[in-house]
Amino acid sequence: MARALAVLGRNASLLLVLAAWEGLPRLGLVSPEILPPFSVALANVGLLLREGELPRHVLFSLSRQAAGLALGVVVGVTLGVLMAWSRGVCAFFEPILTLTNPIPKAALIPLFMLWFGIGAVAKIMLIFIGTIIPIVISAYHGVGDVNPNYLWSARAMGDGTWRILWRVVLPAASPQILAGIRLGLIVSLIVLVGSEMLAGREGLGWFIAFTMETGQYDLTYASMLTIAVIGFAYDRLYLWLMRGLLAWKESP
Amino acid sequence: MTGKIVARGVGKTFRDARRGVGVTALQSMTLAVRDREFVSILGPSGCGKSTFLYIVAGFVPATEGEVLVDGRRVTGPGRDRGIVFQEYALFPWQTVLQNVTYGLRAGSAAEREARAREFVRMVGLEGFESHYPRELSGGMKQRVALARTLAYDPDVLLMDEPFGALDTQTRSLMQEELVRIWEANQKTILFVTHSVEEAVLLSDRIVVMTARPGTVKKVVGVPFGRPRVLEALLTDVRAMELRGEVWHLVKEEVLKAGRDGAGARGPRP
Repeated sequence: MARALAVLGRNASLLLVLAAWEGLPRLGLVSPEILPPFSVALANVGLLLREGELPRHVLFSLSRQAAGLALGVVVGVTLGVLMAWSRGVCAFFEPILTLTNPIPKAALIPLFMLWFGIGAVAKIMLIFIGTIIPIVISAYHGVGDVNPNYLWSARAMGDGTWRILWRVVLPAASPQILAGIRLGLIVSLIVLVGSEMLAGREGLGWFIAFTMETGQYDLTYASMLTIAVIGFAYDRLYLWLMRGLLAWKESP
Repeated sequence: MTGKIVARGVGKTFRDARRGVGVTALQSMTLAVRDREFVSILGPSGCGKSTFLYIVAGFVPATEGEVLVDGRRVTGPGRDRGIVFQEYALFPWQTVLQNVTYGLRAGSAAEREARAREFVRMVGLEGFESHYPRELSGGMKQRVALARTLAYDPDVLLMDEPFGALDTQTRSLMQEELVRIWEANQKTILFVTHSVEEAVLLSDRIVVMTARPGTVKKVVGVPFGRPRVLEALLTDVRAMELRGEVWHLVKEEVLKAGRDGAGARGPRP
């Protein structure tokens, strides 16, 4: 009972919003046309899932998101490590990263459509650009902050550059790198849905835009709810994974 | 001049980029350490004693002179010389056992693990094999660091104020432990410390360094035999006299360092 209350307390803000979502249309304060009650939206999610339309779009979206994020992680970590290790590499990439960082990624969507078409490539590239920056920055700082004692200890034990990189630098920098990837994860979902809303013929973003245009607002809410749940579940899953990987730290 | 470690006219000048001048931390340091000898280096802070140790370790190149280990010129780090830092050198993402296994190369994985377990046991940490460093006290961490370095069996042990961050009781225990391990393993030890008492208790000889630019001021022999009972030495009259003599030498340099406003430090790892 006490535990149940504690869980309730932790999620009070969420419960309040859901209660308003349910209550306002039910009490007639807002038209159910514009805002169908939460329970209806939830029932619609179930309906869409059963009828097979939503899973297809979710799968489309998540596969692109995974591809873009994977690309961002591999290139971002590599670049961040190289920048931390070489002043030359850092000097070369620093201006372009500093310049690209503050550009809202949504502003790049039309450009990328122009360059890469409206298919998967443009979306993967957009996610890649959106995720790589937080990952590069975190990897760069993570590697730069590695205690030099670790490096000297490894060198004293006869380690070469690659072994030090693999067995000392990456594990030592992993808390920051993993935190950067978590930021990238959120960015990837935002950029993905945004790009799908503007162009394409499938994906969660497209589905939202489509139901809006055709006035099926109940389905719009259902798909937005799906995105929120996916994002939340994704983040929790990642956090759980991160805790496992960083069990050696005081407070990951 | 012969010995396990021979330093000939070693000097180190750092470039102070901000002021555009060279700062000489170490000058004409000449020293020979015999095989299986325990030599402490003592001096005021900023005298370059750690810098000298890092030059012997091969982390920092000398700008003058040379260091020979077993007659071979030091050009970089090597597995013949193990290092123990004051703190923070254990890999926090590895367990005690993984840390101690890290430096082992020879044999199968099972053989390496068995050897690591043997050294964990030797430093008295049996039962803590799967603990992470954050779960250990400062003294226990230094035991693991010692085990990690001893496990791959370097001839020379370079220790940079290894017990400097420990409380007095833990420090005394660790000193006894080190003497016991050293007497059993017969390593050549170069031990940097700022504690006169520690130097007298542990060493065969004490190298007292001058204030910056650091060089050898005087080498003092420690006449006590082995095996040593450190507790007995604490109240031994000869030991007290020796402490007084060495302390006097160090104090002169500390005062000089204070007068010259020295205190800038060499490279920390």
